[in-house]
Amino acid sequence: MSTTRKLNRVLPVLGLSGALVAGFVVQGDASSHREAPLIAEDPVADITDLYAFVSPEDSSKLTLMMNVNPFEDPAGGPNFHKFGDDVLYRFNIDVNGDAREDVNYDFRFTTQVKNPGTFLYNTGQVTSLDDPDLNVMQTYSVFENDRIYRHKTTIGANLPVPPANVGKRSTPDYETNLGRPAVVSLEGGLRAFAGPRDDPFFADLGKIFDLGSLGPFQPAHLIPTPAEPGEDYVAGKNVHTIVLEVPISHLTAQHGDPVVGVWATTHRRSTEVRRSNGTERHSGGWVQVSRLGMPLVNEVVVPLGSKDLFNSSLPRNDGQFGASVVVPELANLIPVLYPGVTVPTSVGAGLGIGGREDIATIFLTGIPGVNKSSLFSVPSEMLRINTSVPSGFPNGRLLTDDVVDVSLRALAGGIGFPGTEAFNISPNKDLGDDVSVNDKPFSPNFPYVATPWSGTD
Amino acid sequence: MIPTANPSVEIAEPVAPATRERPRRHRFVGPTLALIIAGLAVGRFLLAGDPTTSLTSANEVAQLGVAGQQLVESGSELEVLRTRTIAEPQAADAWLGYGEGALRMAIRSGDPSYYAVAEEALDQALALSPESSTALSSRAGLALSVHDFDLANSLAAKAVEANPRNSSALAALFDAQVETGRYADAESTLEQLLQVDPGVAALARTSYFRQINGDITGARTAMQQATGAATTDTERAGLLVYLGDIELESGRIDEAERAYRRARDLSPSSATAAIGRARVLVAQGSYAAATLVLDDLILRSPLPAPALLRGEVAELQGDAQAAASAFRIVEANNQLLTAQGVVIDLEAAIFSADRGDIPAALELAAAAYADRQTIFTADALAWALHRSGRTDDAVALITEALATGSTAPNIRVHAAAIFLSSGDVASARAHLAVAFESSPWLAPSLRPIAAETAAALDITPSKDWTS
Repeated sequence: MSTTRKLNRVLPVLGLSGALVAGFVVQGDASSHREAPLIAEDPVADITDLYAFVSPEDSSKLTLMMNVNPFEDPAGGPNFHKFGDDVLYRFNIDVNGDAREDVNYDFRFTTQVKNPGTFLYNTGQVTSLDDPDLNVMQTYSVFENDRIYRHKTTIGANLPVPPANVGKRSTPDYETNLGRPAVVSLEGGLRAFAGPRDDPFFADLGKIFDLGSLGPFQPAHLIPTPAEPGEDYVAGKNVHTIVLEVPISHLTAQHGDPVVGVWATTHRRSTEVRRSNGTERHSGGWVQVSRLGMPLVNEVVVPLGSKDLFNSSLPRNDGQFGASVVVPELANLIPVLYPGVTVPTSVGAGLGIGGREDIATIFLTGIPGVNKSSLFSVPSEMLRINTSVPSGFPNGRLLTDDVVDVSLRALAGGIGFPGTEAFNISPNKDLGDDVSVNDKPFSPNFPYVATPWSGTD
Repeated sequence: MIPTANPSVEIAEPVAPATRERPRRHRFVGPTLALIIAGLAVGRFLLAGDPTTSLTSANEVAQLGVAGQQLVESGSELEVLRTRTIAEPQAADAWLGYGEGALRMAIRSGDPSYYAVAEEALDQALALSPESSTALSSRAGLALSVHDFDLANSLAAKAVEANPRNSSALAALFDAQVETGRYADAESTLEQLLQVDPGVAALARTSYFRQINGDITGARTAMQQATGAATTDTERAGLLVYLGDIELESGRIDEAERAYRRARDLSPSSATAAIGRARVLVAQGSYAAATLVLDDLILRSPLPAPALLRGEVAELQGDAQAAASAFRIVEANNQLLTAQGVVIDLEAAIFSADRGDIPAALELAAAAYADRQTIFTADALAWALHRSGRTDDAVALITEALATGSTAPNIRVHAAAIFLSSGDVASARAHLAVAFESSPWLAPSLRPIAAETAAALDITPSKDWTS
């Protein structure tokens, strides 16, 4: 059993890269051989989490957040983490349930080095975003891409990415001097923030990857051990986050349905193998390299062998994953790993396909009466949110949502979904990893995610 | 000098990682392995202070032992991965992780004995999960590392069939196709890879493919893009070394130096960055400084690439003794690699030809060319044939080597010399001009050939490369 929002973010920690190491021994005349670069993890393009919730500061706004570059060590110098200059970061929004993006928000980053003569990140104390002592700085532009009316607008340009929280000497009063000033207003009443923050995800990945171990339930495990408290494996780590606040009416006015579906994608630009003009940098189109909607999607929706396919696929083609969604592998592992626990195998939800239709509604169609579009219903994996009712996973996703516990309980039939009443008992309704809160409190104000850990914390 | 090997001596221990008995694919096990074991035995003996053996060979051989010791110490990560295979012997993932760890270890350390560990583990992963695209492509990666390109080709093709979007599989297939001279197939595989994942691995391969096709400007651009897309310092450093190599090969010595220096700043322990700096120093004529860099490198880890360059520099300096001892390290490494089942026919052919052992060069190059018809095997065979006086055959082979339009200096310099001896003076002039244009500094082993050919053609090279 593997339980995290994305399996691939955990593998490097365990030393299982899945990466091809195709290296030629460099020998003799080096021109005849070359050590071939690995297909490595691509952390700057690896989306770890997507959040969508009605803004606590203003209920007429929707906040979207995507995180990339997992497991950033705060003491990252001298080359601190950043966004990829050659990566396109995109929020995709479907406003009518047809599984096609109606609006995109695109983010592109540029690194600027003030003094190329030094390798230092900062040459003195950095107390503002335009401090001359900040030697390496990223800026970004935001584009709104209206797919229906086919026009693309630049809604923000030359926006500052706050630097890494290097430490109390280099970046004193980080939040006041650098964090909050990096919240920017965009055209059309939008707001944005992009930069390093504390990783808001929390889970006991270590135990979960040890044969699906859950601290409090270890005595009931197939291989029993004494109960232990959960441990947050993401504690003390940063991510790079992109947060966007959009007026809800901007998205829902056209169709009048308060439900929108959101997914995040990253793209890298391809190139031609052969080229006649060596000065032209790119000659190919953008290629989607990562995609994320719901948390735990790789565990529940996508069979492991289809991960590459999923990452490059479009939601409107997600019907191909339907068969595995209604027979979720993870749900069927629970009774094996925890003998005596039974889980539902068939829950009807009006889809007429059999198996765990409840899970299919959560991941593929939206839950009827909660976050299912009233317009179209093309099965597609995305994070759906009904903006007219309180947010909370699986209706959107809040920073505070314990998605590991909720997902485990949902799979075990323990969240009171119609048709699973018989399973809404202990331990099904109590399953969890005993990590229920983030290591840092969230901010009540945009961008809500906590100040990044500093290199001297 | 070297005592008779005692087969029962447990001398492989400092070099080989702890493994249990496993089936191995050796091509030339018997005498070669015995020689290696004997050599290592000497090294260990000498570490204890035996006064009867010459200092040079003592140093060389002892260093092999010391390097092995360091590798065993850094093998703890591998131990962790091995532990999982013991805990979950039926988990294909566990064997995959262990095998890939061993392969990384082999590449990082330069110690080929890890290949056998990787082979056992990856074969186990494949046995448990024969259709797994990941297991197939990892096993293909190992086959590439030991230069078993046909096996790599068939495994990678299966891996791509199992999952056409597996970028690792596509990359392995491209590598295998390039290394077996299937350039048209390689191009379409690369196009597929660029559509699936246009990241570092795809861009670096695009650079290499362009370089093979003689598009140095495009190769530089793609490698710069790859460098920009790199996500770790180590990865970026490795790509900067390739960029430096491209710059150096196209005669841009200052740009090459900058790239190698950036690589060193990002990864201070990088051996390839240090070799690059030494190559720049050689190109600038600073042989003494190059020697210092290379000696330091060899002392830390006696790998073939720095030893080869060290020997060539010693030859340029007229120091035959230093050259001989450096080349002995290369030979010892070649024997070690061969004993571990790594096919190094091409490298050994070039080495033999450069050292003047033409019969050996011809045999090795013919074997390499029979195995795979690439521009590099064709070049090596062409040169061996030329040196054997078989001019017509040499012309046919060097024409194959030139087919992709590569401006690689060894191909062009060899072409000039071969066409000169066949009486095709116009072609000889043209190829020498390309060599001088793209690589004014030239590799040490090519200099005498280029000098002789230039003199015969009455060409004065534009830069001081003959010193």
